[in-house]
Amino acid sequence: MATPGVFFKSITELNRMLVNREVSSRELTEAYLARMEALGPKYNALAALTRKSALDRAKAVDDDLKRKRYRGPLQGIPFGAKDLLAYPGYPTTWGAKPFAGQTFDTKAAAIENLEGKGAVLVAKLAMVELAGAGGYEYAAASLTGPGRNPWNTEHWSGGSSSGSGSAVAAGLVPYALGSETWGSILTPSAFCGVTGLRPTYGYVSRYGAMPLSWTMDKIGPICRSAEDCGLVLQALAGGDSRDRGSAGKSFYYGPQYVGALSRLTVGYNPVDFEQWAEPSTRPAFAAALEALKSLGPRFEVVELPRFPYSGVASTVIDAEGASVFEPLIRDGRVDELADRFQIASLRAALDLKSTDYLRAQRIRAKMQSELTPLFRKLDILITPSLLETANRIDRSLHSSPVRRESPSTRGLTDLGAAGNLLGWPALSIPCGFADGLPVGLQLVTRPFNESRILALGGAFQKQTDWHLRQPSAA
Amino acid sequence: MSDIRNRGRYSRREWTSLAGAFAAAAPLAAQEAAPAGRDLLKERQDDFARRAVALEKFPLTPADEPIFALVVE
Repeated sequence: MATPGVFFKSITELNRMLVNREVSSRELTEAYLARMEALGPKYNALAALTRKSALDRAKAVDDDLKRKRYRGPLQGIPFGAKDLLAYPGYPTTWGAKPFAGQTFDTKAAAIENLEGKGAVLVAKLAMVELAGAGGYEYAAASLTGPGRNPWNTEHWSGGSSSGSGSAVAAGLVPYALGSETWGSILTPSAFCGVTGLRPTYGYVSRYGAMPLSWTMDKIGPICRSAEDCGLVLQALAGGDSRDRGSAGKSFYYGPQYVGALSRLTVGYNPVDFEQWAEPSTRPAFAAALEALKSLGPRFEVVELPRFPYSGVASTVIDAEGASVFEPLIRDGRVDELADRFQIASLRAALDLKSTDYLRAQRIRAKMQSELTPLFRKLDILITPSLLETANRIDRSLHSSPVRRESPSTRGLTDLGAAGNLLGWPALSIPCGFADGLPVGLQLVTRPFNESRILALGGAFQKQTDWHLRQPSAA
Repeated sequence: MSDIRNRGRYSRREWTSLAGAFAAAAPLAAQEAAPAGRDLLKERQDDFARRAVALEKFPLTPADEPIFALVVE
């Protein structure tokens, strides 16, 4: 029978237990369902349990395991999925009141791929309404209320994959699927102290997922470690003709083939860690940088070329999002959303000019030409996942902390916007705490080179134990 | 936000199904938090106009084509 210690085990450990018949998939699934049911509402992490389907699948997996039909490391292991991924027989609310009763007959390709490897979906997880669409002002911008952080429930779990971040951090699922258009995997991963991977644009099919921005949406895993992220991406990635953005590539998780870490060159900028980051987070970042340097890579100071990254990213998302949600905006149901700022943003975005959108996409093309050569001399870029810890849930997300200094350069602080615009993969790893809340580092690399950041992130996690810490409230 | 104080009144199973209903009404707190008289639509229209002006300053030539479908390599 599953014991409490099982809830924070890695995928590899759970797989070993299943293969050795120390626990059955049904026992594991029942244990996670009970834990999710009991604790999910505490963090506003749960959108819906998929109990019947999960127990049926777990039984089928147990039959396979009895017959020694092995389908890889995810077989029999429960997971959760952000509630923008369609799953027949259960609601898919997109985190938004106007879609509270919505169901689909189709299954999202990402879930289909995991189930094909024997994984067991136990819950749809809460999210910010419409994945944030035009922007939102309060953590409460969700059908299920503000995502509460397992490290301190008065603070936000991050968005828009709020439930995916908090559920993994609180041991409600071993791993979860999230999605990122601009920050929605990295933010909850950093705020909740878990490891999140934003894959290269096109690696993971978005078929059956709520679109927000066709040219920027990505689906990826939120897990306990870099190794777990690699194992999940291996099952997720692959070509899909139903997704026009699909790159048609598969991924093999093989960090051992990256070679010696001492042969890697890492680009970073001290200004990010020493001046842009909130003062309370700086000791954690300084220690994390030292730990990374001790692993052997060569570090080189770099700065991103000057571009209006945020302006381009927000224009693209606002314009594409307004087009996606045009019927909702025009028929007035947009007013049922929880966040007034988001309602206003979507309404205003409907009037964006086509020339503004095209200008943003033209600048984006120039960015791609100028930034891609960075990876001729660098293998990985590193900067804080976020410059501060999780916001309080009762405060406006727009009330930024007071800055005592004004750094002279931007360093790599625009890497979040740039990486999302250019489809680059990123890994967020927990690297310490500030005021009792987690902080994270983001590792970014060239497209389709996830093995590099997974190898460096994995090596960091062999030296540190930040990813193994468990919130006491959980 | 969802009212977790209500949870004790229900079984866990009932709560799971009710939580969504509570939360559906409760996030209105986020809307009410906006100061009265604040015209958010006008604010956002102005934000977008300022953003467009800033992007107009970026030098482009007629040969600079947009990305229509992101292809990354």
